[in-house]
Amino acid sequence: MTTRYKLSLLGLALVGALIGGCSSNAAVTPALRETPSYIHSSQTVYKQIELLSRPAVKEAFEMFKDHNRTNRSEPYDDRVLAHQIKSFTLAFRSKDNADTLQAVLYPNVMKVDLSQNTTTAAYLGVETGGATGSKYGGRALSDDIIDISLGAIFGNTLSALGLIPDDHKEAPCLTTDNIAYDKSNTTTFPYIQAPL
Amino acid sequence: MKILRSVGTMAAVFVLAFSISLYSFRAARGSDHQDSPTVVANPLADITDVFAFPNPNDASRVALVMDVRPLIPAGMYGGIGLDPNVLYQFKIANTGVTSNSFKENLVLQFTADTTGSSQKITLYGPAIPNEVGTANTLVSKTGSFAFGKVSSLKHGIKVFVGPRRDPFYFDLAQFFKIIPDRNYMNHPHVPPATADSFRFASRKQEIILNGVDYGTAGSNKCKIAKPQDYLADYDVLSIVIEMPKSMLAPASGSAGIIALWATTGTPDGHAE
Repeated sequence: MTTRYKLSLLGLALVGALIGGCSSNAAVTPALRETPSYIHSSQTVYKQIELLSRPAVKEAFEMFKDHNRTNRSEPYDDRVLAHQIKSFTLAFRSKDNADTLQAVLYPNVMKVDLSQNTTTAAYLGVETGGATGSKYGGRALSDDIIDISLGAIFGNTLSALGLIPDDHKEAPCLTTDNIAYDKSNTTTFPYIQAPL
Repeated sequence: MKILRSVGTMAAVFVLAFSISLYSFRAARGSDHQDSPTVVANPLADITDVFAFPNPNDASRVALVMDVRPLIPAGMYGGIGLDPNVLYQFKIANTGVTSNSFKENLVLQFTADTTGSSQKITLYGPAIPNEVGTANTLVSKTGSFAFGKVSSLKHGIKVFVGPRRDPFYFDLAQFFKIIPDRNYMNHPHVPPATADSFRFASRKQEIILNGVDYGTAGSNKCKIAKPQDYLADYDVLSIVIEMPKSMLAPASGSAGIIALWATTGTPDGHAE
């Protein structure tokens, strides 16, 4: 490689970096990546890199630095998340609140009662005995899981359900994000609104 | 030759720079959506949401949904398919859930045979997993189907994998102002919070939760501004499967309470 060629590469790289914004995240964000075809074999061992069940638990309670560890754990074997559900809540609510949230949300799985003869799902319906709308539980496309979660963390949901006494530490500005269900999902498979 | 090589390098650098710039712009708008550096590195392995609900017209059937690939701008989903290096799994426990003494005893697995939207998807299971835990191999194959098309497989299974409008809705930008740690763009030097309130449409908006009246937004000094669903203009890739719920029942007995979670994995445990 000639010196002139090296210099032109360096110059172009600098221009590219400037256009790219010199983000410290740039090294881990190859947006237009291509992956070659892959032959799936019964011998291939796939190692878990991502986990999701209840949608807002990790994001609300757990420090970002610990997400990668939780993503690589089984939801029933994740002491870090279990601990942080409680420690996060204790920062601004009573011990009763923290203990109850930890007991309800850990292990962090979505519970679905398939014995229910219904066509209505409701987020946290199993855990709350149907108080969120249906004992079926699971999660419907229209469920406002953010407001349900915020109500439990910052509002009076737990005391309203009779699970614990009211600690009078509600934060009313944080009990809803004020976003209403605004999608056009359907009642025919695959149920989710067509892409935009 | 040198000129050609320089032009090629220039094009590659600009494509890379544009990609980084574009993705960084999008990245400011994630939710579970981009919750670790590993999945940020491979958005096709990034699970944004999980749903489980009955068929609205048939209570004997259950639908499971796993959404991946966050923040596809409106109209830009063409050519985006699942990552053929990734194993997409629903994991289920159908015993011991009530007492929280469970481990997965059923899995449904999906793989793709190539990149892009002309790919073929293969479903494995539902079946007893070969391994319990975070390192997994494929169970028995159930059938294959085309990306982007509703398909029927044996045992009354219906499947779809393809682009859909992101069903999630959330004022994510305001959440990141309240808890800046959760935005990966803020690391490693996390700034202090710049808000202690979600946004309310007006000072007169009533705050009522579970029947308790907390007064108006103004009286509580909540932040007044128009709330925004930051996922409103984006698509995702949806993996949707529906089946008779009896297929998720224990070996003996009828279907009861299950625990459900979704995972992605790669052969080396890295992003790609």
